[in-house]
Amino acid sequence: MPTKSIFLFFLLAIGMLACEDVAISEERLLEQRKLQLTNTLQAGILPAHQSFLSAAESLHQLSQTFRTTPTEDHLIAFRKQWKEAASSWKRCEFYDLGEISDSFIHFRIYRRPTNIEQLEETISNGELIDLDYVESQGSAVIGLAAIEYLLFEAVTDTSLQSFQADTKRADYLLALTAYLLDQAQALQESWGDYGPTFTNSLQSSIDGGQNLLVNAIVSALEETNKDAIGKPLGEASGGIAKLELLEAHRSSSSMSLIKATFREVKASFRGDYPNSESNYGFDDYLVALKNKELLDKIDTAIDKCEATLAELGGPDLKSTLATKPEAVAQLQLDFTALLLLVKIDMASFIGAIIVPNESDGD
Amino acid sequence: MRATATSFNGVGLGIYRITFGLLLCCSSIRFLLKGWVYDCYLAPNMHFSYRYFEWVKPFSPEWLMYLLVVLCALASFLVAIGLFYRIAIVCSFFLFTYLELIEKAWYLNHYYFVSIILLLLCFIPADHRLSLKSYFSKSKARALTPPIYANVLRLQISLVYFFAGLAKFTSDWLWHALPLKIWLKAKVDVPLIGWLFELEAIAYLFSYFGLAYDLGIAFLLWNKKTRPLALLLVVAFHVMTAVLFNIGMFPWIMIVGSLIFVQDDEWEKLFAFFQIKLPAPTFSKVSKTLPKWLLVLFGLHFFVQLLLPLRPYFYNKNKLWTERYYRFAWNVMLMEKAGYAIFTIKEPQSGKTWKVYPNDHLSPTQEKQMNFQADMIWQFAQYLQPIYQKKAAHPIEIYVDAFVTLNGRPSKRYLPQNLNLLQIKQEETYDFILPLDYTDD
Repeated sequence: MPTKSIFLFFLLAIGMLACEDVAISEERLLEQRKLQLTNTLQAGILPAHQSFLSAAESLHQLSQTFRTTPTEDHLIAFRKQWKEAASSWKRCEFYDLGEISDSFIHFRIYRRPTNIEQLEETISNGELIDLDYVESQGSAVIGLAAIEYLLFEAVTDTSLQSFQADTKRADYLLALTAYLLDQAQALQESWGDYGPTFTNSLQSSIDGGQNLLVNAIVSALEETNKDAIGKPLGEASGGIAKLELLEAHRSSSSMSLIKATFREVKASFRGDYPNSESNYGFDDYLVALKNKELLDKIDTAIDKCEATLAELGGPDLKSTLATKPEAVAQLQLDFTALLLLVKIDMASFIGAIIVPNESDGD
Repeated sequence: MRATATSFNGVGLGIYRITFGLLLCCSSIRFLLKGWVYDCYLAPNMHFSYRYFEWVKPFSPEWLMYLLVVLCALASFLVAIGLFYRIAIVCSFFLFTYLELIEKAWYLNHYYFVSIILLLLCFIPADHRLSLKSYFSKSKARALTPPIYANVLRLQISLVYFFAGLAKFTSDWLWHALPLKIWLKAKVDVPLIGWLFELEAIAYLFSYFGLAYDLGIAFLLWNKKTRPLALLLVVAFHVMTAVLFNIGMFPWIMIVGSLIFVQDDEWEKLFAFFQIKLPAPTFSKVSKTLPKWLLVLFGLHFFVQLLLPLRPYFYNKNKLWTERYYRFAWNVMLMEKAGYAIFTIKEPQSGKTWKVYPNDHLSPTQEKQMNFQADMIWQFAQYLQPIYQKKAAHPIEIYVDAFVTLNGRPSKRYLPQNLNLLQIKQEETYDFILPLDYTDD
């Protein structure tokens, strides 16, 4: 009797399968994942890294010019290029994924905040300040954050004078940009090597490409909310605003960097990178999974964030934080709403793993 | 259906002891190798204790926790080989249960199951056959354990399956094939059969097969005629779950568990078929009765085992949403749930506020679990209280902004925003959980 029941059960099951109306041959989910990852790599990641490499090259050229002739004009051009490079870096920073993340190369390019005491000590202790010297230093005294400190530490004149008076300082700055260029090249090469692995990581485990992208969006929004907005808003200090905790506050580019990060969040979700052929993103994947309701919610949340960012203006958050903290708090609320939808609704719905499993489940 | 005294000779118990002991030993070694001693016991700043077991804490220095897991593996190994069995099984039980009780965020049904089996084995002399003790023993004066011992284990495993089946009677499981519909679509990368998981019918098929399996497998295992088929089903079902889901040792523990249903005479026939000669028994007769105190104890145990899985049905409108009494009730693989929580600390008199992101204080697993479990949200608030009270001059209040999604539904606010978590008791938190259909508007 039980054998017959089991046989009947399977018969019924086969019947159910036969009735299923799904065109699986052309719209396989696995193929859709591949399409998304390929689009992200080809239209998003590789161009972003190429653009950062170009920005790092320009930065280094201006650094050389400034080293030779430390004039105010050159300093201004140098500073402007730093802002370009930092903004360009934000696109790459978003893609701290898989083997790239394991290599910790992102730390070598941009670790914030820079350790000022240690940086000053490193400069004054250096006898021969060159690329090798910078290469041997820890991530707290190198990279974009250290360059920002040296370039923007004071008003133009004082800063210029400090370079003119202290050649070690100018040498260190030159070595920093040379090292940044090296790292930008190395990072681009790493993506060249890792790219095919990334686009072929179609598995649903934590190292699957789609999982890595969901986690990248989550990390970007969480870090922006907590560090770039929350801490300056005074979340960790009883509500007392801490302007000095704004990201890149010396260069007054905090808002630009938040905007750059958000642009990448949006592009990676919608897949609509410049020059993208397929524009395939999570939005298309949600459509494939037939969850238009969730997609509409996320789209609305993205649009809301964008509108609030536009209202806040830029490029710095400092003045807005001092005069209209409620507007900044609203931006944080909008980011939180988007974060919620991606981190729990979307991740849960597509079966993405947000937290690396420390244990089994049952 | 029931083993008779004449057909019983303790081989089945011996085989179960060996396989279960070895599995537990491997499980402990795996725990060590994966670095989970650090992740679970040492890394977290605080631990989510079980109610009434708040006193269970990790020992310091740190190496002691590693030592305890090693000892647990060693004790399990001694259980498997049947050497110093009584001491080893009692040590296994206390060590494993102690390690399990430290951290609620790491609760797993199969950890609980292992603890129960170890507890039962403390009262079951399972070392009469296929053990080093019987190998070295010269005396044949002792009586073999009564067959009821094996039935105690069979009954326990049957209850697990049955209540796991009963727990699946939720509208999500029955009508929407959730959460399998979500999980299977994520598993389209499984070789050969992955493409099948895109079909919704497969999710329904798996849901109903899982339900039928849980409700019926114990009956099939008890029945001599259907037992071979049942054993095949057990292996097929659990191997499939092992391939599809990240559920660690659970499938293997249940496969091993099914071996206890095989009667001793069937084992004898199987060994004879493969021309394996078993060591001669070292007992003189089979005892038929159990001491009365032990019968009472087993009776009490099964009474509790009936009560615990039934509790959620009396206290919840939707147990998946509230999770009140959800643990220890064999609610296995029933939901895809995720949450997000941020805490706000207020000092009303001064107007000061702080925002706390749980990942600044909790491990990833702790945060993940706390985000959607009311009792843990309450516990985290209690943990924050002394930390932030030090920063404030006046009494503080703690609020949570918590959102939860269940089985693919849109996320909903979980607890009221204006609920001061310091003003309520842990158990009361469940009463404040907002309904699943609640909207902020």
